Amino acid sequence: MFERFTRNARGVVIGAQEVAHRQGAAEVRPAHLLQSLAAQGDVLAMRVLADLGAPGDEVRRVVGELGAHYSAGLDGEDAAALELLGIDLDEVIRRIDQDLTGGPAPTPKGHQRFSRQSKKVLELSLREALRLRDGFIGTEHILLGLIRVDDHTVRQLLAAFDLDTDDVRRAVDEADRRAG
Amino acid sequence: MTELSELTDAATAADPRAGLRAVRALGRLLEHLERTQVDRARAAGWSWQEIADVLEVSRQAVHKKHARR
Repeated sequence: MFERFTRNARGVVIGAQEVAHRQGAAEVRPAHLLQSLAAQGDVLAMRVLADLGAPGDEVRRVVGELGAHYSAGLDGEDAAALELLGIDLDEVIRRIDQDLTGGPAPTPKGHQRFSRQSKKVLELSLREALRLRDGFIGTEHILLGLIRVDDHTVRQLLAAFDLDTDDVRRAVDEADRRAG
Repeated sequence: MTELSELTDAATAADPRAGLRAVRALGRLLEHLERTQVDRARAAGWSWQEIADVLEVSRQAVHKKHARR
C-alpha cells in the first residue's frame, strides 16, 4: 500500500514515527499523524485547512498545546479532575508509554508500531483515495482518514477552529475536483 | 495515605460534579491503560487466555473487547 503514497504523504507517515519516538510514545497514534501532517508546511491537506480558516501556524500551535493525554483519548477536563486525586495525568500517560517495569520503551527508533487506530487512519485514507478515484494516496486523503477515525485529538483540533468533519470533507472533495 | 484521603475528599466534595468527573476520567485512563497493555501483551505473543488469566476475567470477555477493535 505504501507505494501508492505520494512523497508528501510518505513524509507524514515517516514524520509521525519520529514524533512518536520524540515523545517517548510506545506506538504511533492518530495524534502523532496529525502533528506530523501539521508540520509538513505547504501540502494540499494544509492548504485545505488554511482555506477553511485554520492556517498552518495556528494548527501547529493548537496541536502543540494538546498535551500527551489528548493522544490517549483524555481531555483537559479529565486532566483537571484527576489532579483533584493527586494524579498528574501527563506523567501517568508518559509512564504507561514507557515500560511499566522500568525498562526502555519496547520499540526502537524508526520502527514505532502503529496503533490500531493509526492503521485504520491509513486504511481509511486508501478508501478515500478510491472513493475520489485518485490513483494515489496524498496528504488530503490522510486528512480524511484522520477525520473518519473519530480521534479525540482531531475532534479537538476541528473544534478549536469551529469546523466540523463535513466542512473538511467538502473542502477536500472540492480541492480534489479542482486538482483534477 | 495521601492519595486515598485526596480521593475521598474529591469523592465527597460538596459539589458531586467534581467527583463524578474524576470517576469518568479514571475510567478513560483505565481504558487507555488496558488497551495499551493488552496490545503490548499480544505483540509479545501472549494468548488471549493468558491475558484473561492475569486480568482475572474470562477469555471471551477479553477477546470480545479487544480482538476486533
